[in-house]
Amino acid sequence: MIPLIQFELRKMVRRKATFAGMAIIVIISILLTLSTVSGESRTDQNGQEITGLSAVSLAREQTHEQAGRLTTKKIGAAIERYHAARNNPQNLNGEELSDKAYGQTEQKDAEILSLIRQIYSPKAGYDYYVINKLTSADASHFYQKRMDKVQEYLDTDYTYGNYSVEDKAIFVKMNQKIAVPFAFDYTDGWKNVLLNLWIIIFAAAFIICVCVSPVFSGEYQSGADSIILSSRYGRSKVIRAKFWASIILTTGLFLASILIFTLLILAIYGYFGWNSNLQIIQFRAPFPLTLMETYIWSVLLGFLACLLMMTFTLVLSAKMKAPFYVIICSAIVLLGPMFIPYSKSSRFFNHIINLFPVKMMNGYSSFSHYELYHVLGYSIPEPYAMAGTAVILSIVLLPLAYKGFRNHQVA
Amino acid sequence: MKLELNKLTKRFSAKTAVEDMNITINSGVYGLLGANGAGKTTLMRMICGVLAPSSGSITLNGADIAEMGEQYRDLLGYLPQNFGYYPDFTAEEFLLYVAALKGIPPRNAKLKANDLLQTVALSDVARKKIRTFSGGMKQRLGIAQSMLNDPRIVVLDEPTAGLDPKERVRFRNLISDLAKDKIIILSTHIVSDVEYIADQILVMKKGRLLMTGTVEELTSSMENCVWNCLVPAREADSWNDKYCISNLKHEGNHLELRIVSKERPLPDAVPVAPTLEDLYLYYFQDESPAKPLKGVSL
Repeated sequence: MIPLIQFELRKMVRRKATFAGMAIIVIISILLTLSTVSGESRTDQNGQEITGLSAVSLAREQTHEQAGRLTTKKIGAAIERYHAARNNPQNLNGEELSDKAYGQTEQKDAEILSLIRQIYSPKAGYDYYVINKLTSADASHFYQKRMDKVQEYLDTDYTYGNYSVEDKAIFVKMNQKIAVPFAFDYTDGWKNVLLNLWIIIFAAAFIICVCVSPVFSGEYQSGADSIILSSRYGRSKVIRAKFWASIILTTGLFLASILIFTLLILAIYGYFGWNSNLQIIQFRAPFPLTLMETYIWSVLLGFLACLLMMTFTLVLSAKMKAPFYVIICSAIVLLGPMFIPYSKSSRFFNHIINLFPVKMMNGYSSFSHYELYHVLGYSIPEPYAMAGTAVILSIVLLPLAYKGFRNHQVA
Repeated sequence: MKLELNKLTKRFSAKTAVEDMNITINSGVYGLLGANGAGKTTLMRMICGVLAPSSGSITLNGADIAEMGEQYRDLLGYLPQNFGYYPDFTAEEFLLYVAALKGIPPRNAKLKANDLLQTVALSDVARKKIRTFSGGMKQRLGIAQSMLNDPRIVVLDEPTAGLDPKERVRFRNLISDLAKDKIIILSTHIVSDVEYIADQILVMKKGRLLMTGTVEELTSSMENCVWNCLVPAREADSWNDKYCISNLKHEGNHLELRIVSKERPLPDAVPVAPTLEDLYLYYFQDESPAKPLKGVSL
């Protein structure tokens, strides 16, 4: 079996498409990193705007100083510093802080202040000036206010269906499991990784489809199917070997893609913040996870989505006569759901849409949302429902690919 | 070893590629002759189990090959027509891959592959990628892969296609060496190849078995049916329309014709010894069905 797996892997790896695919992943990773870094801006001590790597460096230095538990005392101190800066007339330019004063004072607390604004803003929307109405004493309600925000979100009327009492209770319970005070640190690196990860996973999935598409159909197209199917293991071991080789290639391509992108971003932004709460970058997220845990779950979910796409492509490959048609069909299944708009009247429809592989690739989004799937009396949070679906569908689809090739007729 | 085809039929929607084929094949070399579309390749595919018959069955020593599965395929060596190869594999890698498909342990596979590469005169290019090979080299590699598992049943579809005369002679010798206690079925358009190698000739036309027999049996049925005669060169077209011409040679203002005909075409026409090619031309000169000549078994 092992020699067969090695040969099948060699066939796939030596194709130009595999090399081109890896090159595309590297290019996308570099472009994404460049666009992320070039979008960074910060104000220096002189009030001058700095961008790119210098901005990243300054933000990391200033925010990392605040690393530790985000206690109400720390939040209160940030509010106090906010008011102190604005109470000094020399810092003002009209009613606003001057750029120089902002660079010297408030910017250091920018991340904490942003969290405060989100949590204390009224239901109607985001109020940038809400801190003006707060005192350091209000900080003591920070975590309760966050829970209020969650409750407010759960109680809102939605055109596509409201949360049931049971659903609300489940989400409140999940939120109660989130350890407070939050662990806080500079998180821009992990935030950018999490926000853009789906693009890399999506590109990897497409390349995996291209690489896997000729596994069976390539044999039909080249005429090698006659030799394989008339050989002793042509209808048994070689099919399993092709499956293993596809899984190894998928895993290798996926991990290489993820690693290239993650290391590129973290090499620039630094690894700080890996143990910060997910809520530091998405305050309402209901899952009690650190950023590293969210990353690992997102990678796992993305991997399962890629495995599902791989299995689906293998089924098509076993049924279709040419890899080109396999790629077209796989691309439609991969890309199609991106263009299906969410329903404004049916949460169930939206749940179905979210079970397509492309939606599974955005783990950060899934771990930030409040969606439960009700299956056989169980209420399953969306990321786990996605993972389960990917596993079940992959298990169901693989035998179809197996039978497709085993029963293939050379005509 | 006895391979039996029982009422074997293969239909592709409206077209019947092989119809009601009944034949028993014992050890020996069987040459399959027939025009394009006669059903040779379809028949070979069914014998190799890569194409299921529409009806009928194939049995080996009484057991249905479809039920034998791996056990049957373990006895089989198959060279398909226009077989697929992997351009990025070297010749040695390709043979080792096929050896793995055939369940040959890696150490034995290496020895066997090197041995066969030498037999088909490819050992010098064993480490070269197949993409650099000529058509003849690929064909020899295909022949080598079919022999890897020392098969008891060898099915070769157009094995001499792309081979130069020297390679064809080498191939014929190889088949002669291998033939003992084996069933070898091969098809070719090159009648002389079958003539030299085959113990039995199977002639197929429009999906049916037209006749079987040794070369001598088949050609003897055409005694006094092949003639040599001289005709004026200007009459070439009319002779061509009237008779099946198997050879034509210019002799000054005259043509020396080799004619396949039951009647003497000219009073001074000389009967000559028939060949398999004469027989082939007689039966496949056009699409209209020809009646078998007297004395040929069906």
